[in-house]
Amino acid sequence: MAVLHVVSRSPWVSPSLQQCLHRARKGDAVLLSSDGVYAALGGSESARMLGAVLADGIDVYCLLPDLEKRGIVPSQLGEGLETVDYDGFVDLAVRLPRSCSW
Amino acid sequence: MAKRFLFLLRRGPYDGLWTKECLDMLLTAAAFDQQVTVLFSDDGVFQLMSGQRPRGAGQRPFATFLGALSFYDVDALFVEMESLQERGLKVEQLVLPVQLVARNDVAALLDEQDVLVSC
Repeated sequence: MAVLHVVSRSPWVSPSLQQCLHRARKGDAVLLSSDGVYAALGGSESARMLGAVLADGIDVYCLLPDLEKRGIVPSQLGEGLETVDYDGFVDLAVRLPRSCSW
Repeated sequence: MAKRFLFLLRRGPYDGLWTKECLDMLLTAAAFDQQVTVLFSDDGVFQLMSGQRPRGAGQRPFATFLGALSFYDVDALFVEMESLQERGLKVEQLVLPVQLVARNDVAALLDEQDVLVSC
């Protein structure tokens, strides 16, 4: 059964994202929230890592209100990275009833 | 006699109260006519992103605090170039006019100061 991985720390402050991505597997989803959304900025090493896990069948979502708070617009995100609002977060939590915070 | 202060801001704008409190110190130093320089590095560059729209009660976009810098005649603002590049950001996306400094030259910039405050 798949897992929703929630990453809430900046990849430049904490190794959380890397630790998460090493353990996520096909069918899982990664949700970036709080300072975790900075990882999705296109052109960064972390966005490249996220692009690589997309190819492995792991979906990556960024929490939209947390992007907006930080002045990040969806066009700045790395390729293939999607956004979800709070309703979408709930849908993810329903679809993937087990979650893991990083 | 005025001293040269450098404030090194290296945390993201919503990573606790560190930067807000550091800015209070900075503005106090400036208000007492000290010579103040600011260097944004690492996640500190995220403070300068335009279009920040926090929704929570009582939260303000961080850039509104930074607007006080010019009011206190603090215009020596530096951003570390590599910190921007690593985050896929460009200097045009920042809310304040800043000078870029290469990581290699940061040590020299710190060397010019009497007092360093880092948060």
